[in-house]
Amino acid sequence: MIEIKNLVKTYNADTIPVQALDHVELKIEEGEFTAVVGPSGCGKTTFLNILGGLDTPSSGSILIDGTDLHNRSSADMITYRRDNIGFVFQDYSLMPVLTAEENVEFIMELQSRPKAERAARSKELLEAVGIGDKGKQFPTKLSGGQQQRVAVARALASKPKLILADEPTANLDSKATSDLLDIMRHLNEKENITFVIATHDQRVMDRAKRVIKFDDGKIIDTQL
Amino acid sequence: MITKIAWRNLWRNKRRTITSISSIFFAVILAILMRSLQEGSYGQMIDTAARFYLGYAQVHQNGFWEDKSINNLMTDSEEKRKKILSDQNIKGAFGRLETYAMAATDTLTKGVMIVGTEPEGEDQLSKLSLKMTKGKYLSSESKNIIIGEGLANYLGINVNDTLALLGQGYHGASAAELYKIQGILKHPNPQMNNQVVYMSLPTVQYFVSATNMLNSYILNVHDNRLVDKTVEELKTKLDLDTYEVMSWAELSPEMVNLINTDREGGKLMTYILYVVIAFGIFSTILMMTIEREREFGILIAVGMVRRKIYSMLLQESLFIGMIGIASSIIAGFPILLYMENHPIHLEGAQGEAMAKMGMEPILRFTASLDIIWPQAVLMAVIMVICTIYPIIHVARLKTVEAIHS
Ligand SMILES: Nc1ncnc2c1ncn2[C@@H]1O[C@H](COP(=O)(O)OP(=O)(O)O)[C@@H](O)[C@H]1O
Ligand SMILES: [Mg+2]
Repeated sequence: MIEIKNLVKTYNADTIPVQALDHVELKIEEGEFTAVVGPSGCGKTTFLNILGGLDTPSSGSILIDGTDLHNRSSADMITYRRDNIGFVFQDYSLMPVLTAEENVEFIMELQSRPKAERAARSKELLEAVGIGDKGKQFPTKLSGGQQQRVAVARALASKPKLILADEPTANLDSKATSDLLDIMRHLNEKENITFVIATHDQRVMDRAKRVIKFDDGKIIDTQL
Repeated sequence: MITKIAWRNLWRNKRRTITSISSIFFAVILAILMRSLQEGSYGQMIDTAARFYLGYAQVHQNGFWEDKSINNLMTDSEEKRKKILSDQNIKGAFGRLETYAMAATDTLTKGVMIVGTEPEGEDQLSKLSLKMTKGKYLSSESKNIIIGEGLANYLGINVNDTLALLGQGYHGASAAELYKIQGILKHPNPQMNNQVVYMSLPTVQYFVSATNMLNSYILNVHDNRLVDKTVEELKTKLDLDTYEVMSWAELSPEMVNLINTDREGGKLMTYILYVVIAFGIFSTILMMTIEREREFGILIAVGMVRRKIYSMLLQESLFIGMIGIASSIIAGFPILLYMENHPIHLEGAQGEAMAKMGMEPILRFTASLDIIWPQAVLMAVIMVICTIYPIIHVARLKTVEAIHS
């Protein structure tokens, strides 16, 4: 379970302060499939960054299964992210010099997993996201939807319990969007992986189990 | 995998990588050729000096080198020769007695240097017999002389002519004799060519009234790189109160200085060349780094510790360096080998200028790994140095800002 307590993020505190998150209080249960929505600039990305340990809060804290996420050295934080959190970005952000399966295996290699396990899991994950036949392709040879599926497979590679996706469908057409959502919902249900998806895409909201509305750094609605 | 990524990263911008590699390639080739030519010319200087005059080492009466008086002689003895020849690196040793005299024809006179020597030993060291342009080389029984071509031209004399030599003998004896010229040689040292008179050892000993006396044993060696060691060994065998043993470097310290100064100058030139290349490489590596800030941000986000990114950057640099260095060695070493065996013969004014400086008008190259490996090491070090700042740049990257850049 993730407990977000009194989270505040102020950018440029010493010049022109921007309060990107304003005392956010929230609990996210294991196995949620939650959309974080709101207009551009409302703080969605900031929220995900802090939740993913990429950025630190100005005040407040995040407890994951009871321990303070940010109470780590930056090197420990990198390893924690590697082993516990999967990221999906708007522009896929795959390594262009690695093939689809290498992109997935790469994360497991960072974890020093044996080669055979890496190969087997990357194959399995690419099949799970429906592009089992594209393993040997480089990202530039794949469509946006296919690349985003590789990104999801990569995010799953280290067997994280939480996946954070920032506008994952923003660059996809409706078919690709709906396929991707199918895959993510399926993983969520089958593997009980928690998804938190920042979006202003109505199609994502429609498929989410829970929608949290942000405005101006505050949560204005948390429907379940 | 990091190595694989680093390798593939190189080829994302092929042209830029190839430009970097070629700049290293040309810099290293140029440096190698330059240094090879330098070392070749030193070898040539040493050989010229050693082979035609000094030998690789000499043994004298103690103090002779300081005071080269005709009175500072030592007795030739079988025992001394045996001691000298017992050293493994000594290929041969022979005695010389050198003195100065006035040479006179009917109309002209000139100061000459008389080298009384053992014709066979001298020939083994210097291949003097091959330099004969007219007449015959000396034999050990010969009572005649051979003279330098320059001297012959100056005095206007030829083979079978007679030359009068006047000088000072041992312990104040007078020395005056007529000698028949049995040959003329072109001595590669132009100074020698203009003033040398060779005769056999007994002939000169008779001329200066110093029977069985020498001023030096001239030593020829198998391996000229081991001369210093050989000299040290000889010093333990010979009585140092009576004799002195000197290597070519001690006999000709001014040449050692000249070589060292010139060598440092040449190295400085290569350093300057490398600094110029390093700036280009540095800016390429930095550009390759800055362009990929976002990618590094993502890598850090998904769990790659920065140390691995540094290692990736370093490997990319070293790949570029290694390809550049390896290709320049692969291309450069055969060139050196070829040049070593096919030295450039200088003609015209350049050749004359060199000849005036006392050298053969030839540009020699040395194909030695000792020239190549410092370039390789230097270039590798440069690549590492060029990567330091890009690494610092990545160390300072803020993950979130990098991702959203
Ligand atoms: N690095 C930053 N420095 C200063 N202000 C920032 C920075 N990142 C975001 N902001 C500001 O914080 C607010 C929230 O931004 P963000 O979290 O990106 O919103 P969203 O993802 O919902 O569009 C915005 O006003 C934005 O301008
Ligand atoms: Mg955003």
